[in-house]
Amino acid sequence: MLGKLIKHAFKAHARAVWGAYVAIGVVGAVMVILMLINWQNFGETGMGAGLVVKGIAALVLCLTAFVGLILTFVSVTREFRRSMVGKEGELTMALPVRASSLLFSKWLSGSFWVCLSYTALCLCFFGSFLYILRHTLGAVQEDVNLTTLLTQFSSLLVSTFGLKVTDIGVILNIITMWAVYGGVTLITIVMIFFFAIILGHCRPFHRAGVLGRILYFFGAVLLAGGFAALVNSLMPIYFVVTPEYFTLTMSTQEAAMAVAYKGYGVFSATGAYCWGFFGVIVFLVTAVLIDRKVNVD
Amino acid sequence: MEEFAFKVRKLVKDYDRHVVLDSISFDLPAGKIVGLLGPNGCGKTTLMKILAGLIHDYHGIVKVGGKNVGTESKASLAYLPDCGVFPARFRTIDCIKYFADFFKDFDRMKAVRFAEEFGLDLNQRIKTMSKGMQEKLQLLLVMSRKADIYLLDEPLGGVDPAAREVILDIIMNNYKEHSTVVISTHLVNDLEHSFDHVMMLGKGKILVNTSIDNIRETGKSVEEVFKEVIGDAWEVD
Repeated sequence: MLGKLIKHAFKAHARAVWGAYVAIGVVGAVMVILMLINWQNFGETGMGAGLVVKGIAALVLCLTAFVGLILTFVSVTREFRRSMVGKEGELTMALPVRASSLLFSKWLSGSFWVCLSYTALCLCFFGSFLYILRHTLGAVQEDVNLTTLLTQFSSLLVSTFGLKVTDIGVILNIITMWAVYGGVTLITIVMIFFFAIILGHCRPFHRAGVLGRILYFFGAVLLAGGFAALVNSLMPIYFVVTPEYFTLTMSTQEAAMAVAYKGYGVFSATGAYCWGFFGVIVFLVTAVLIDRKVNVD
Repeated sequence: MEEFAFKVRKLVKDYDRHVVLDSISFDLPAGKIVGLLGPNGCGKTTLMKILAGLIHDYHGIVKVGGKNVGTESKASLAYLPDCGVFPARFRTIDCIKYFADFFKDFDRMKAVRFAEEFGLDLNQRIKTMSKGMQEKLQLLLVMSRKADIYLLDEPLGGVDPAAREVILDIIMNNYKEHSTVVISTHLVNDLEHSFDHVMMLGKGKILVNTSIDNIRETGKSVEEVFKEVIGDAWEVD
């Protein structure tokens, strides 16, 4: 049954987001074309205007990807509301499946689409960044290839995080760690959206209407943030990123030593596991609410 | 087999202090066609939704086929809502596949045959169907199940008199033998000859819960009893 629920959830979400994705794809493609046009063919005036257009196109590309992420969140949550507590809920909630299975299928599918949009956003930012970097370097040196750009990018990361090791392995590990952290946070946020919708359809919380659902969402996000901050102060865990491996340590001293003497990357892992843990708790609470409290309109 | 399809004890349901079901208790016999009768707004749909597991915040005990309302009871209960519930993007064939995916007792071939018999194009989308066509499609799907209990919420609501007969025929000719069929309606006249048992709701209370034979013994028709008890219940104090 779970497999069938997942199949239907993926189809429903795909249909909910495809319109937005097509529009964003078209805008993105136009921006990329504007960025790739050789404006030198249009003379000196064209070159000057081309620089401005390229800059704006890179900015619009990133903004479009950002709007895409927001629209994905909106589409996923709207689909959830419609299929769980709207008219379609009379069909969904009458299925002989456990509330946790139903919720999990929606969570998995919603998270997939949100993470897909987030990946597109990161790629757009990264691509635009490299593109702008290429133009900036192109003004001062003639031969700018991809290796030069990536070296500059890693130097920027190194200076930003104060690393002493410029090994590409460390950089890749840092990027992987960011991806995991970002993914966990986004997946938890999707579940908090679902929780806010379900809570907003339980008595007496339904009285606050749409405003209430927004408040429950931000309330839960604040709670998650506060929980992570509290745990971080009581029981911090650090990721130590070396060229060869990740390691976890609970010793603040050890983490500081890794930075000071070896130049490894050190990041707090508390946020990632706290958000993940919070996501699971919210999932369980939401499943119980669906099972025992929520009413289909 | 359970003697009773439903056992309900002290069921209370209110919407923001407006009491819809006021501590009602009843048993409905298994294997019968039961008419759930009452005027508009008397709580028939609320009761149906509670039995189908769509409303959870009530007080009291509800047993469906001897089980608590949950996954098991939903597997053996076919529920027909009083409105269109399929997503607008679905085609007839998608609705059939959806039921086939989730209900083990669903007869897919029967549903396809039904759809063809009643002129429903398998590739037509819900958003292009009239309200009547959507209702017909949902009824066909529900009646293509071999469920122990059928809960049909206003299957004749909003349907013209000519189509009522067709719908009644679909129901009466297709429910599983020895199953319980509960039909909620306020159109007593059209259905009274089909019922084995009736339960009348009014002002949040059970006004009548008896077999048709008992009613006939009084020399009155179901409609006469309905008018009598509902009229009393809605009289202004």
